[in-house]
Amino acid sequence: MSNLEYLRFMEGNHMKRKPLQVNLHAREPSVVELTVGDRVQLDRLTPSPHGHVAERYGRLLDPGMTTVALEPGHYLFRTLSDANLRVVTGGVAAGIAHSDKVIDPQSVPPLDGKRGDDAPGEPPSLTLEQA
Amino acid sequence: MTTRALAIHVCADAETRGLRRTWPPAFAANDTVQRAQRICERSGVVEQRTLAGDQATAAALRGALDHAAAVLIHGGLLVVTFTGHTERGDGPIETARWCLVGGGMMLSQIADHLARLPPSARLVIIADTCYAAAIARCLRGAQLAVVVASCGEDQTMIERARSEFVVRLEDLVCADPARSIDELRAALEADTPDCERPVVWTNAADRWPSEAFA
Repeated sequence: MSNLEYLRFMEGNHMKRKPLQVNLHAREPSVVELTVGDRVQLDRLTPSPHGHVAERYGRLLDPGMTTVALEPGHYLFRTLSDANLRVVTGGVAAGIAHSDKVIDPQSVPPLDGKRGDDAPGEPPSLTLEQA
Repeated sequence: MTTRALAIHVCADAETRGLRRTWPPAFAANDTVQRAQRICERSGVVEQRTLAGDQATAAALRGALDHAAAVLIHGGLLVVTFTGHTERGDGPIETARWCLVGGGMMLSQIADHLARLPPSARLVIIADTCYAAAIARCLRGAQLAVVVASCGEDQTMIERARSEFVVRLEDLVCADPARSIDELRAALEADTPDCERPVVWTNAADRWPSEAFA
């Protein structure tokens, strides 16, 4: 995403109250560029006897574009803004929680893992760019 | 028999129900309650009761809150911890429910029981759940209150092996019990994502003792 494209992306990218939850599956060591409009936590998911459990992966991502290296595995992040994910290298599948929309034919687990039901409202949207 | 300070910890580590659905045990509930117990010990709250497993019912919580109302002395302190699921539903936020074994308890009902505490009592609520700060909106008693919540009233939280919020809260309180409410708020909000930000609320900013958990 160029600077001009980023500025256009952020223009009109208003915060929503209901977060968009994106599940990622890195099938191999990968590098992605994630563009968001809010401060975001990326979690890595590890299997446990009670299902997948999230654990913070790296530092919080500030608004704007951040390049992140992903080891193979499952991840999730939640954002209050529209998000753009660009796969720079490797192979990453992305899916939106509580949605049938999976932006890649590869399997992304249907993870929920929250401490309650969803608030009403529409979440932001995700766009995915494969290299 | 009366008491100066007591704590009620509700640990939804069993299958619970809210309004419309059944919820699996909250993964980190036990860890959260153990940390809350240590926070209370560090703050001088000796008398602590934990409702866990099959005991984490609405009836048991009502009973514990009514007991607290009966035994707490003038100016006494009650700490209430809830760790588990909250079901929001479609109604006003007051109708959201802490999910408990056999059925949930609406926030407005919990607030009704808390309002029966002595008017001069002080109340600290540690809410480690979705929509955690919503309980603050429901309080209507005269008691001085502090709500320390894992996220905002319109926010959900991700299930983790340990609640980052409570881990940090324990570190903060146990390292420096004399930390003020403003200092606690700033420390808990720092380094958190916008969609899951802890809240420290009080109706008594100018009247609460200098220590948040005094």
